[in-house]
Amino acid sequence: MQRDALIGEPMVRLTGVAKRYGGGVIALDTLDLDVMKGEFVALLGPSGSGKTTLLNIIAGMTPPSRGSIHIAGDDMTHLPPSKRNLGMVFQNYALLPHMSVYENVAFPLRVRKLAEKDIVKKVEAVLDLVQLGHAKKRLPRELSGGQQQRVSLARCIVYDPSLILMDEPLGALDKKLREQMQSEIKRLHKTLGTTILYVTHDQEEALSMADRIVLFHQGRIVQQASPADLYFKPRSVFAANFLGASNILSTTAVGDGIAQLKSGETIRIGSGAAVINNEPVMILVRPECLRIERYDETSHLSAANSVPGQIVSSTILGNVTNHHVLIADGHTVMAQELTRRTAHDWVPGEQVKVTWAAADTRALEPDEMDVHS
Amino acid sequence: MKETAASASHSTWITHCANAWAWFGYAFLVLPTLVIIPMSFNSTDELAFPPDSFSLRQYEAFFLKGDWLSSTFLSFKIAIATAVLAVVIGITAAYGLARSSFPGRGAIVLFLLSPMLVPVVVVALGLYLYFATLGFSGSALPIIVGHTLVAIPFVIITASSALRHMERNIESAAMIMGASPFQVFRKVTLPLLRSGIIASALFAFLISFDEVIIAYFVGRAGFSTLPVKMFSTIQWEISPVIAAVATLLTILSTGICILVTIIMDRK
Repeated sequence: MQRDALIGEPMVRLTGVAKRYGGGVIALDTLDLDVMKGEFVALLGPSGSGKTTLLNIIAGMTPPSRGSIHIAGDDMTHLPPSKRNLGMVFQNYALLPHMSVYENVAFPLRVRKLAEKDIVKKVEAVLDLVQLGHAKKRLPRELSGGQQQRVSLARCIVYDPSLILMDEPLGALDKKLREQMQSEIKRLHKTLGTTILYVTHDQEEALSMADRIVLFHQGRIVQQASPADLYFKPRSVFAANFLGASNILSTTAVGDGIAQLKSGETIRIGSGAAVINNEPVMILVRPECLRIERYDETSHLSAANSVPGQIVSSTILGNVTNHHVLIADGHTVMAQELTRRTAHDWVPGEQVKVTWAAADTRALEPDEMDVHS
Repeated sequence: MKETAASASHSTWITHCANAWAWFGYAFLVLPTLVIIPMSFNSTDELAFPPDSFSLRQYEAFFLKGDWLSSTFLSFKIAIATAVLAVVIGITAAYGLARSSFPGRGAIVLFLLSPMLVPVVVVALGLYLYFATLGFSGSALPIIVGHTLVAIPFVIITASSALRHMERNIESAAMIMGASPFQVFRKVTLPLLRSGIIASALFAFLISFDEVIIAYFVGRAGFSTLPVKMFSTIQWEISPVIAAVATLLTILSTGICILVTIIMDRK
């Protein structure tokens, strides 16, 4: 696995961590997770999937029902939050409203009883790093959302915690500012080499920022992989649906690496879960892997899968165009291509065939199987 | 379109009526109090309205004659002690209740607020019997205890609302940054609650300063607070000094209420 490739001992090691509430509510099923030193890990999942619960358990705000938490090699399971030497960035900034920007950033150093001249030096340095050197006398409420979040970042990195936890830190910002802050956080991560655990429900954010994505669903980890692997090799229907757009076809396995649509067309499977003859199997094809061809055209793709269909609609979304095609088995699939002036204009109702390579065809585990994985 | 315009003007009309009615009720309740003010500047030895002359005789009597001043000082002492005790107990109780959940929490809230629900006479009688058995004569302590009891619910309500408005994450953030629970309370929670604390202290002060029933029941000889002194004076003679005292009390109460409003608004 990828984490074996990283050097050094894990910065965070979670062993058998679980959280149950009264009434049998399982917030977090038993899970293990290692985070390497300097790694940027995104905890991704829909709301209520347990990712924030896990972050609170690591921070020490919520005690786990079971399991242990090691940070930098030390058992932190029973230590209060103040003794864990962590940093945390909240969605609503959580700045101290009665203190200036300077005092906010100095706060963690003051509770650590550093000498005044060291405090001045460190605070000035990090405020410059987040480009807020000019605003140190201002109160948090006098700053914009993006500036407040930069203060909260500065307040974390100033005391060099072993790990920084971020709980949807950009959730309250508008799109443009969010993108700007994403690159700012990545830059800080690169410059300082901090270990970051980043909770988000935004798949694009996770894909663009993280070294590794840990995907959560209903209190358990369903898959963890690098952004590219998670996109190209999702294990389950949930993972395929949660990241990116996807076409999922219901088929029946008819041989080794071969499945059949209800309407009879055979489909070659390139990768994914093992299939059992005559058992149903879900198949993923990403929209950008589908090609639309004229019905009578001979396919030029080698080992191509090909299914006849009918154009439903074509929509230009700027640089990409989405075509919806009703295929023979009664499902509608989406094919996505780059918008070109020279592209053929497909007319709704036109008979076509949809083709794609076997390599772009992936067999998925049904979600129920995750229970045992 | 027409319909909505009609109903809108209809509802404005109702609003105007309700406003007028409210102002009328307010005037009806407040004017008798304000009548006291011109009466207090009368020079005769009777309570009369309208006053037939102007003088500061009644104020002179308040400050120089009789034991009005000693009663005033006693009231101040008791009110300050009440404010301190009620704030310390009320704030800690409100903090504990706001930041934890445990079985029986609702019962404790009800118990702490009960002095507000039980008639003051009942509280006063209970305290009277209690202190009659214990015997604390020769001290203002029984009055202070009684007033603290009555003021605590108001402090808890004010502080709870301030705590509810405070972002919970701020305390968590301070803790994660390495602050001990005590540091969090002293450097984060307390400063953020400051205006709530000052406001509730002023409230507690006012409640104690105005209170007459408990003070009357449990106050022993030589421990007549200002309202008790007014009450007993009015039983023997209708002295116009009362009007002067009432005027001063009105100014004090109004002043404190304005102060509380300013403090609460500043946030």
